[in-house]
Amino acid sequence: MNDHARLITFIALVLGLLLAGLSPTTAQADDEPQCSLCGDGGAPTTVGDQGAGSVVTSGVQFPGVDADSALGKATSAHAGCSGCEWIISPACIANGAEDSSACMGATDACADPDAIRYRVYFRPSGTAPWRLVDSVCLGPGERPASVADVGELVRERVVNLLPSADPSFQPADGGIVNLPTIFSAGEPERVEIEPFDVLGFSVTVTATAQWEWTFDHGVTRTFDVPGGVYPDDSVSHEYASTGDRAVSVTTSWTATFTVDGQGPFAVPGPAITKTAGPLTVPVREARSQLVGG
Amino acid sequence: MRGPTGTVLLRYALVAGLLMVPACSDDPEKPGTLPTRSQSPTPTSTSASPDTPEEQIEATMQDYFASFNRAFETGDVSELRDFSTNGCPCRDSADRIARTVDSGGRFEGAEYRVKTIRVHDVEGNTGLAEVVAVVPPYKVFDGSGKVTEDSDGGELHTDYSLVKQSSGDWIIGNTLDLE
Repeated sequence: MNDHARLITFIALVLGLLLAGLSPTTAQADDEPQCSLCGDGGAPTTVGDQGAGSVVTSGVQFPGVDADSALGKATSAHAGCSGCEWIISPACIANGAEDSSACMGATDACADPDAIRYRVYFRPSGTAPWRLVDSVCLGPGERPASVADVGELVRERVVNLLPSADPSFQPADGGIVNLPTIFSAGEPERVEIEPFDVLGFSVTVTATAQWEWTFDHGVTRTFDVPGGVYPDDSVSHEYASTGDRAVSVTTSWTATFTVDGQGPFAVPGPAITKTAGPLTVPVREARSQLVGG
Repeated sequence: MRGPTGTVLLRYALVAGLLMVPACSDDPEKPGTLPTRSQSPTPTSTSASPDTPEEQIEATMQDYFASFNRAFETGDVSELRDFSTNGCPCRDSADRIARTVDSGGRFEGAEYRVKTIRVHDVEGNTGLAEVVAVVPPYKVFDGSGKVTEDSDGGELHTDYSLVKQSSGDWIIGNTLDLE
Protein backbone atom coordinates (compact mmCIF):
# COMPACT_ATOMS: atom_id res chain seq x y z
CA MET A 1 0.00 0.00 0.00
CA ASN A 2 1.55 3.31 -1.00
CA ASP A 3 1.33 6.53 1.02
CA HIS A 4 -1.59 7.82 -1.00
CA ALA A 5 -3.58 4.69 -0.44
CA ARG A 6 -2.73 4.77 3.27
CA LEU A 7 -3.90 8.37 3.38
CA ILE A 8 -7.24 7.56 1.77
CA THR A 9 -7.71 4.66 4.15
CA PHE A 10 -6.91 6.95 7.08
CA ILE A 11 -9.39 9.59 5.93
CA ALA A 12 -12.06 6.96 5.34
CA LEU A 13 -11.46 5.62 8.82
CA VAL A 14 -11.67 9.09 10.37
CA LEU A 15 -14.86 9.92 8.49
CA GLY A 16 -16.30 6.53 9.26
CA LEU A 17 -15.60 6.94 12.94
CA LEU A 18 -17.04 10.44 12.88
CA LEU A 19 -20.19 9.32 11.14
CA ALA A 20 -20.51 6.30 13.37
CA GLY A 21 -20.10 8.50 16.40
CA LEU A 22 -22.41 11.26 15.24
CA SER A 23 -25.27 9.39 13.70
CA PRO A 24 -26.72 7.77 16.78
CA THR A 25 -26.45 10.95 18.77
CA THR A 26 -28.02 13.36 16.34
CA ALA A 27 -30.42 11.45 14.15
CA GLN A 28 -33.83 10.57 15.47
CA ALA A 29 -35.96 7.69 14.45
CA ASP A 30 -38.96 8.64 12.37
CA ASP A 31 -41.34 7.31 14.97
CA GLU A 32 -39.72 9.26 17.80
CA PRO A 33 -41.89 12.06 19.13
CA GLN A 34 -40.95 15.54 18.01
CA CYS A 35 -41.61 16.94 21.45
CA SER A 36 -42.34 14.42 24.14
CA LEU A 37 -42.61 17.21 26.70
CA CYS A 38 -45.40 18.90 24.74
CA GLY A 39 -48.04 16.92 26.56
CA ASP A 40 -48.89 15.88 30.07
CA GLY A 41 -51.78 13.52 29.58
CA GLY A 42 -52.28 9.88 28.79
CA ALA A 43 -54.38 8.19 26.19
CA PRO A 44 -57.80 7.30 27.50
CA THR A 45 -58.72 3.64 27.37
CA THR A 46 -61.89 2.28 28.93
CA VAL A 47 -64.75 3.66 30.95
CA GLY A 48 -66.55 2.41 34.00
CA ASP A 49 -64.43 3.31 36.97
CA GLN A 50 -62.14 6.04 38.06
CA GLY A 51 -59.23 4.33 36.45
CA ALA A 52 -59.63 5.42 32.88
CA GLY A 53 -61.48 7.41 30.29
CA SER A 54 -63.09 6.41 27.07
CA VAL A 55 -63.06 7.38 23.44
CA VAL A 56 -66.17 6.75 21.44
CA THR A 57 -67.02 7.75 17.91
CA SER A 58 -70.04 8.11 15.66
CA GLY A 59 -72.03 10.07 18.16
CA VAL A 60 -72.48 9.37 21.80
CA GLN A 61 -75.45 9.08 24.12
CA PHE A 62 -75.63 9.62 27.84
CA PRO A 63 -78.40 8.10 29.91
CA GLY A 64 -80.67 10.54 31.65
CA VAL A 65 -79.02 13.65 30.32
CA ASP A 66 -81.22 16.72 30.08
CA ALA A 67 -81.74 17.54 26.41
CA ASP A 68 -81.37 21.24 27.20
CA SER A 69 -78.00 20.83 28.93
CA ALA A 70 -74.75 21.60 27.13
CA LEU A 71 -74.11 17.89 26.87
CA GLY A 72 -77.61 17.13 25.65
CA LYS A 73 -77.36 19.80 22.98
CA ALA A 74 -73.89 18.70 21.90
CA THR A 75 -74.82 15.05 21.60
CA SER A 76 -77.93 15.98 19.70
CA ALA A 77 -76.09 18.35 17.36
CA HIS A 78 -73.41 15.80 16.52
CA ALA A 79 -75.42 12.61 16.87
CA GLY A 80 -75.03 11.65 13.24
CA CYS A 81 -71.40 12.73 12.89
CA SER A 82 -69.30 9.77 11.81
CA GLY A 83 -65.93 11.51 12.18
CA CYS A 84 -66.59 13.12 15.53
CA GLU A 85 -64.79 11.86 18.59
CA TRP A 86 -65.69 12.05 22.25
CA ILE A 87 -63.75 11.45 25.42
CA ILE A 88 -65.44 10.73 28.69
CA SER A 89 -62.73 11.32 31.20
CA PRO A 90 -63.05 10.88 34.97
CA ALA A 91 -62.46 14.03 36.99
CA CYS A 92 -60.02 12.07 39.10
CA ILE A 93 -58.27 8.82 38.34
CA ALA A 94 -57.75 6.64 41.37
CA ASN A 95 -55.06 4.04 41.58
CA GLY A 96 -55.10 2.44 45.00
CA ALA A 97 -56.63 3.27 48.35
CA GLU A 98 -54.61 6.43 48.74
CA ASP A 99 -55.96 7.74 45.46
CA SER A 100 -59.52 6.81 46.34
CA SER A 101 -59.28 9.16 49.25
CA ALA A 102 -57.63 11.81 47.11
CA CYS A 103 -60.37 11.49 44.51
CA MET A 104 -63.18 11.72 47.04
CA GLY A 105 -63.86 15.28 46.01
CA ALA A 106 -64.77 14.11 42.51
CA THR A 107 -67.36 11.74 43.94
CA ASP A 108 -68.72 14.37 46.31
CA ALA A 109 -69.47 16.55 43.29
CA CYS A 110 -72.33 14.22 42.32
CA ALA A 111 -75.72 13.98 43.97
CA ASP A 112 -75.60 10.19 43.74
CA PRO A 113 -72.90 9.04 46.21
CA ASP A 114 -72.04 6.13 43.92
CA ALA A 115 -71.74 8.28 40.83
CA ILE A 116 -68.47 9.53 39.40
CA ARG A 117 -67.93 12.88 37.81
CA TYR A 118 -66.75 12.72 34.23
CA ARG A 119 -65.57 15.41 31.85
CA VAL A 120 -66.86 15.13 28.34
CA TYR A 121 -64.61 16.36 25.57
CA PHE A 122 -65.47 16.57 21.92
CA ARG A 123 -63.75 17.21 18.63
CA PRO A 124 -65.30 17.26 15.17
CA SER A 125 -62.41 15.36 13.60
CA GLY A 126 -59.34 13.41 14.60
CA THR A 127 -57.06 16.39 13.98
CA ALA A 128 -59.08 19.13 15.69
CA PRO A 129 -58.27 20.13 19.28
CA TRP A 130 -60.42 18.71 22.03
CA ARG A 131 -62.83 21.03 23.77
CA LEU A 132 -64.71 20.48 26.99
CA VAL A 133 -68.42 20.08 26.43
CA ASP A 134 -69.73 19.44 29.89
CA SER A 135 -69.34 17.52 33.10
CA VAL A 136 -71.64 14.65 33.88
CA CYS A 137 -72.19 12.35 36.85
CA LEU A 138 -72.59 8.72 35.88
CA GLY A 139 -73.57 5.94 38.26
CA PRO A 140 -72.01 2.48 38.22
CA GLY A 141 -74.60 1.16 35.77
CA GLU A 142 -74.73 4.22 33.60
CA ARG A 143 -72.36 4.13 30.76
CA PRO A 144 -72.17 6.43 27.82
CA ALA A 145 -72.55 4.57 24.61
CA SER A 146 -71.87 5.37 21.02
CA VAL A 147 -74.58 5.12 18.43
CA ALA A 148 -72.55 2.28 16.95
CA ASP A 149 -72.70 0.42 20.29
CA VAL A 150 -76.45 0.88 20.48
CA GLY A 151 -76.83 -0.01 16.81
CA GLU A 152 -75.14 -3.38 17.25
CA LEU A 153 -77.51 -4.30 20.07
CA VAL A 154 -80.48 -2.96 18.15
CA ARG A 155 -79.60 -5.23 15.26
CA GLU A 156 -79.55 -8.29 17.52
CA ARG A 157 -82.99 -7.40 18.88
CA VAL A 158 -84.53 -6.38 15.59
CA VAL A 159 -83.71 -9.66 13.89
CA ASN A 160 -86.23 -11.32 16.18
CA LEU A 161 -88.74 -8.49 16.20
CA LEU A 162 -89.20 -8.17 12.45
CA PRO A 163 -92.06 -10.23 10.99
CA SER A 164 -91.47 -13.30 8.90
CA ALA A 165 -93.10 -13.69 5.52
CA ASP A 166 -96.25 -15.77 5.15
CA PRO A 167 -96.51 -16.07 1.38
CA SER A 168 -99.73 -16.88 -0.44
CA PHE A 169 -101.04 -16.82 -4.00
CA GLN A 170 -104.24 -16.38 -5.98
CA PRO A 171 -106.12 -18.12 -7.40
CA ALA A 172 -105.89 -20.26 -4.32
CA ASP A 173 -106.13 -23.52 -6.24
CA GLY A 174 -103.30 -22.59 -8.56
CA GLY A 175 -102.15 -20.30 -11.32
CA ILE A 176 -103.41 -20.36 -14.89
CA VAL A 177 -101.11 -20.42 -17.87
CA ASN A 178 -100.66 -17.00 -19.47
CA LEU A 179 -102.68 -15.26 -16.77
CA PRO A 180 -101.20 -13.43 -13.80
CA THR A 181 -100.82 -15.38 -10.62
CA ILE A 182 -101.00 -12.92 -7.74
CA PHE A 183 -98.62 -13.24 -4.81
CA SER A 184 -98.49 -11.76 -1.35
CA ALA A 185 -95.61 -11.93 1.11
CA GLY A 186 -98.01 -11.45 4.00
CA GLU A 187 -95.91 -8.67 5.46
CA PRO A 188 -96.44 -4.93 5.80
CA GLU A 189 -94.48 -2.49 3.68
CA ARG A 190 -93.17 -0.73 6.73
CA VAL A 191 -92.71 -1.88 10.30
CA GLU A 192 -92.50 0.38 13.31
CA ILE A 193 -91.37 -1.52 16.37
CA GLU A 194 -92.60 -0.39 19.77
CA PRO A 195 -89.98 1.42 21.84
CA PHE A 196 -87.66 -0.88 23.75
CA ASP A 197 -84.67 -0.41 26.05
CA VAL A 198 -81.06 -0.72 24.98
CA LEU A 199 -78.33 0.19 27.49
CA GLY A 200 -80.80 2.37 29.31
CA PHE A 201 -81.88 4.26 26.21
CA SER A 202 -85.32 4.22 24.67
CA VAL A 203 -84.94 2.91 21.14
CA THR A 204 -87.49 2.90 18.34
CA VAL A 205 -86.98 1.07 15.07
CA THR A 206 -88.52 1.62 11.67
CA ALA A 207 -87.89 -0.91 8.94
CA THR A 208 -88.74 -1.09 5.27
CA ALA A 209 -88.18 -4.04 3.01
CA GLN A 210 -87.60 -5.37 -0.47
CA TRP A 211 -88.93 -8.75 -1.53
CA GLU A 212 -87.14 -11.03 -3.90
CA TRP A 213 -89.47 -13.64 -5.29
CA THR A 214 -88.36 -16.82 -6.97
CA PHE A 215 -91.37 -17.72 -9.11
CA ASP A 216 -89.73 -20.59 -10.87
CA HIS A 217 -86.36 -22.21 -11.20
CA GLY A 218 -84.02 -19.38 -12.26
CA VAL A 219 -86.82 -16.81 -12.37
CA THR A 220 -86.42 -14.11 -9.72
CA ARG A 221 -87.82 -10.62 -9.46
CA THR A 222 -87.46 -7.96 -6.80
CA PHE A 223 -90.34 -5.80 -5.56
CA ASP A 224 -90.48 -2.93 -3.12
CA VAL A 225 -94.04 -3.81 -2.19
CA PRO A 226 -95.14 -6.97 -0.42
CA GLY A 227 -98.00 -7.71 -2.82
CA GLY A 228 -101.52 -8.49 -1.76
CA VAL A 229 -104.78 -10.07 -2.73
CA TYR A 230 -106.90 -9.46 -5.81
CA PRO A 231 -107.34 -6.82 -7.21
CA ASP A 232 -103.83 -5.88 -5.96
CA ASP A 233 -101.65 -7.34 -8.67
CA SER A 234 -98.50 -5.41 -7.74
CA VAL A 235 -96.69 -8.72 -7.33
CA SER A 236 -97.65 -11.24 -9.94
CA HIS A 237 -96.19 -13.62 -12.43
CA GLU A 238 -97.46 -15.26 -15.60
CA TYR A 239 -96.46 -18.85 -16.16
CA ALA A 240 -96.13 -20.06 -19.74
CA SER A 241 -96.66 -23.73 -19.04
CA THR A 242 -98.39 -26.03 -16.65
CA GLY A 243 -96.83 -27.83 -13.69
CA ASP A 244 -96.01 -27.32 -10.04
CA ARG A 245 -93.68 -24.46 -9.20
CA ALA A 246 -91.56 -24.06 -6.07
CA VAL A 247 -92.00 -20.42 -5.09
CA SER A 248 -90.04 -18.69 -2.33
CA VAL A 249 -89.64 -15.13 -1.13
CA THR A 250 -86.71 -13.49 0.61
CA THR A 251 -87.45 -10.32 2.55
CA SER A 252 -84.57 -7.90 2.99
CA TRP A 253 -85.23 -5.44 5.81
CA THR A 254 -83.40 -2.14 6.04
CA ALA A 255 -83.93 -0.54 9.42
CA THR A 256 -83.24 2.74 11.13
CA PHE A 257 -83.45 3.52 14.82
CA THR A 258 -83.70 6.47 17.13
CA VAL A 259 -82.05 6.77 20.54
CA ASP A 260 -83.93 8.83 23.09
CA GLY A 261 -85.57 10.66 20.21
CA GLN A 262 -82.32 11.34 18.34
CA GLY A 263 -81.70 10.01 14.89
CA PRO A 264 -82.67 8.22 12.78
CA PHE A 265 -79.51 6.14 12.46
CA ALA A 266 -79.05 3.19 10.17
CA VAL A 267 -78.98 -0.19 11.84
CA PRO A 268 -75.42 -1.32 11.15
CA GLY A 269 -74.55 -4.21 8.93
CA PRO A 270 -76.16 -5.66 5.83
CA ALA A 271 -79.91 -5.85 5.33
CA ILE A 272 -81.65 -8.34 7.60
CA THR A 273 -82.97 -11.12 5.38
CA LYS A 274 -85.57 -13.77 6.02
CA THR A 275 -86.64 -16.40 3.50
CA ALA A 276 -90.00 -18.16 3.40
CA GLY A 277 -90.91 -21.12 1.25
CA PRO A 278 -90.72 -22.97 -0.93
CA LEU A 279 -94.42 -22.85 -1.60
CA THR A 280 -95.85 -25.25 -4.19
CA VAL A 281 -97.90 -23.39 -6.76
CA PRO A 282 -99.75 -25.60 -9.25
CA VAL A 283 -100.18 -24.05 -12.67
CA ARG A 284 -102.98 -25.26 -14.93
CA GLU A 285 -104.32 -24.58 -18.34
CA ALA A 286 -107.64 -22.86 -18.64
CA ARG A 287 -110.25 -24.68 -20.66
CA SER A 288 -113.33 -23.21 -22.21
CA GLN A 289 -116.49 -24.79 -20.97
CA LEU A 290 -119.96 -24.30 -22.28
CA VAL A 291 -122.40 -23.50 -19.60
CA GLY A 292 -126.05 -24.09 -20.23
CA GLY A 293 -128.45 -21.28 -19.57
CA MET B 1 12.14 19.21 4.66
CA ARG B 2 8.54 18.01 4.66
CA GLY B 3 7.56 16.02 1.54
CA PRO B 4 4.28 16.48 -0.38
CA THR B 5 2.71 13.47 1.27
CA GLY B 6 3.28 14.93 4.70
CA THR B 7 1.68 18.23 3.63
CA VAL B 8 -1.39 16.46 2.33
CA LEU B 9 -1.58 14.45 5.54
CA LEU B 10 -1.51 17.66 7.53
CA ARG B 11 -4.30 19.09 5.37
CA TYR B 12 -6.44 15.98 5.86
CA ALA B 13 -5.75 16.04 9.54
CA LEU B 14 -6.89 19.66 9.63
CA VAL B 15 -10.04 18.80 7.69
CA ALA B 16 -10.68 15.89 10.02
CA GLY B 17 -10.19 18.20 12.97
CA LEU B 18 -12.64 20.69 11.55
CA LEU B 19 -15.13 17.94 10.89
CA MET B 20 -14.88 16.99 14.53
CA VAL B 21 -15.83 20.47 15.72
CA PRO B 22 -19.56 20.01 15.37
CA ALA B 23 -19.24 16.71 17.12
CA CYS B 24 -17.60 18.43 20.04
CA SER B 25 -20.41 20.95 20.19
CA ASP B 26 -22.75 18.08 20.95
CA ASP B 27 -20.57 16.91 23.77
CA PRO B 28 -22.92 16.55 26.71
CA GLU B 29 -20.10 17.24 29.12
CA LYS B 30 -19.34 20.60 27.58
CA PRO B 31 -19.61 23.31 30.20
CA GLY B 32 -22.00 26.18 29.74
CA THR B 33 -24.87 24.12 28.41
CA LEU B 34 -27.09 24.11 31.46
CA PRO B 35 -30.75 24.69 30.76
CA THR B 36 -31.65 28.30 30.22
CA ARG B 37 -34.28 29.49 32.63
CA SER B 38 -37.12 31.62 31.42
CA GLN B 39 -36.63 35.20 32.37
CA SER B 40 -40.07 36.36 31.36
CA PRO B 41 -42.78 36.15 34.00
CA THR B 42 -45.94 34.35 33.11
CA PRO B 43 -48.87 36.56 32.17
CA THR B 44 -50.96 35.04 34.89
CA SER B 45 -50.49 36.18 38.43
CA THR B 46 -51.45 34.75 41.73
CA SER B 47 -52.13 36.53 44.94
CA ALA B 48 -49.92 35.87 47.93
CA SER B 49 -52.61 33.87 49.66
CA PRO B 50 -55.18 32.70 47.16
CA ASP B 51 -58.67 32.82 48.56
CA THR B 52 -61.02 31.66 45.86
CA PRO B 53 -60.94 28.17 44.41
CA GLU B 54 -60.00 29.69 41.07
CA GLU B 55 -57.00 31.44 42.60
CA GLN B 56 -56.02 28.34 44.51
CA ILE B 57 -56.12 26.20 41.39
CA GLU B 58 -54.11 28.72 39.42
CA ALA B 59 -51.52 28.94 42.18
CA THR B 60 -51.33 25.14 42.28
CA MET B 61 -50.68 24.99 38.56
CA GLN B 62 -48.00 27.68 38.76
CA ASP B 63 -46.32 25.70 41.51
CA TYR B 64 -46.71 22.49 39.52
CA PHE B 65 -44.82 23.83 36.54
CA ALA B 66 -42.19 25.46 38.74
CA SER B 67 -41.71 22.06 40.33
CA PHE B 68 -41.49 20.52 36.85
CA ASN B 69 -38.71 22.90 35.90
CA ARG B 70 -36.80 22.18 39.10
CA ALA B 71 -37.14 18.46 38.42
CA PHE B 72 -35.59 18.91 34.96
CA GLU B 73 -32.58 20.44 36.64
CA THR B 74 -32.25 18.31 39.74
CA GLY B 75 -33.88 15.07 38.69
CA ASP B 76 -35.80 15.01 41.96
CA VAL B 77 -39.44 14.35 41.14
CA SER B 78 -40.72 13.68 44.64
CA GLU B 79 -42.15 17.19 44.92
CA LEU B 80 -43.65 16.94 41.44
CA ARG B 81 -45.39 13.68 42.27
CA ASP B 82 -47.06 15.25 45.27
CA PHE B 83 -49.12 17.37 42.90
CA SER B 84 -51.04 14.45 41.42
CA THR B 85 -52.79 11.19 42.22
CA ASN B 86 -50.99 7.95 41.51
CA GLY B 87 -53.46 7.24 38.73
CA CYS B 88 -53.04 10.57 36.95
CA PRO B 89 -51.62 10.14 33.46
CA CYS B 90 -49.46 13.15 34.23
CA ARG B 91 -47.41 10.87 36.46
CA ASP B 92 -45.84 9.51 33.29
CA SER B 93 -43.98 12.80 32.87
CA ALA B 94 -42.53 12.63 36.37
CA ASP B 95 -41.69 8.97 35.93
CA ARG B 96 -39.87 9.73 32.70
CA ILE B 97 -37.73 12.39 34.35
CA ALA B 98 -36.94 9.98 37.15
CA ARG B 99 -36.02 7.18 34.75
CA THR B 100 -33.76 9.43 32.73
CA VAL B 101 -31.96 10.85 35.72
CA ASP B 102 -31.78 7.55 37.62
CA SER B 103 -30.02 5.98 34.64
CA GLY B 104 -27.46 8.76 34.57
CA GLY B 105 -29.14 10.81 31.88
CA ARG B 106 -30.13 14.44 31.95
CA PHE B 107 -32.21 17.12 30.29
CA GLU B 108 -30.70 20.10 28.53
CA GLY B 109 -32.85 23.16 27.88
CA ALA B 110 -36.02 21.43 29.06
CA GLU B 111 -38.52 23.67 30.79
CA TYR B 112 -42.09 24.88 30.66
CA ARG B 113 -42.72 28.57 30.16
CA VAL B 114 -46.31 28.95 31.21
CA LYS B 115 -48.21 31.31 28.90
CA THR B 116 -51.74 31.04 30.20
CA ILE B 117 -53.67 29.25 32.89
CA ARG B 118 -57.41 29.38 32.42
CA VAL B 119 -59.27 28.02 35.40
CA HIS B 120 -62.74 26.90 34.43
CA ASP B 121 -65.71 24.77 35.40
CA VAL B 122 -64.98 25.00 39.11
CA GLU B 123 -67.77 23.16 40.87
CA GLY B 124 -67.70 21.97 44.43
CA ASN B 125 -64.40 20.28 45.08
CA THR B 126 -63.45 19.95 41.44
CA GLY B 127 -62.12 22.32 38.85
CA LEU B 128 -60.22 22.45 35.60
CA ALA B 129 -57.17 24.40 34.51
CA GLU B 130 -56.42 24.76 30.83
CA VAL B 131 -52.70 25.41 30.55
CA VAL B 132 -50.70 26.62 27.58
CA ALA B 133 -46.94 26.48 28.06
CA VAL B 134 -44.08 26.98 25.66
CA VAL B 135 -41.51 24.23 25.51
CA PRO B 136 -38.24 25.63 24.14
CA PRO B 137 -35.82 23.42 22.18
CA TYR B 138 -34.31 20.79 24.42
CA LYS B 139 -32.28 17.63 24.42
CA VAL B 140 -32.47 14.50 26.48
CA PHE B 141 -29.31 12.52 27.10
CA ASP B 142 -29.10 8.97 28.33
CA GLY B 143 -26.55 7.68 30.78
CA SER B 144 -23.91 7.19 28.11
CA GLY B 145 -24.21 10.79 26.96
CA LYS B 146 -26.10 9.97 23.78
CA VAL B 147 -28.93 12.24 22.74
CA THR B 148 -32.14 10.25 22.96
CA GLU B 149 -34.35 13.18 22.00
CA ASP B 150 -33.33 16.34 20.19
CA SER B 151 -36.48 18.40 20.05
CA ASP B 152 -37.25 21.77 18.52
CA GLY B 153 -39.72 22.23 21.35
CA GLY B 154 -43.28 23.24 20.90
CA GLU B 155 -46.27 23.95 23.06
CA LEU B 156 -48.08 22.10 25.78
CA HIS B 157 -51.86 22.58 25.73
CA THR B 158 -53.42 20.48 28.42
CA ASP B 159 -56.55 20.50 30.53
CA TYR B 160 -55.85 19.56 34.14
CA SER B 161 -58.63 18.23 36.34
CA LEU B 162 -58.06 19.10 39.97
CA VAL B 163 -59.76 17.87 43.12
CA LYS B 164 -59.71 19.63 46.45
CA GLN B 165 -58.34 17.66 49.39
CA SER B 166 -59.56 17.76 52.97
CA SER B 167 -56.34 19.63 53.75
CA GLY B 168 -57.51 22.41 51.45
CA ASP B 169 -54.85 21.64 48.85
CA TRP B 170 -55.77 20.93 45.25
CA ILE B 171 -54.40 17.83 43.58
CA ILE B 172 -54.31 16.91 39.88
CA GLY B 173 -56.51 13.88 39.33
CA ASN B 174 -56.51 13.64 35.57
CA THR B 175 -55.23 15.39 32.47
CA LEU B 176 -56.06 15.56 28.81
CA ASP B 177 -53.81 16.93 26.11
CA LEU B 178 -56.13 19.11 24.09
CA GLU B 179 -53.90 19.17 21.02
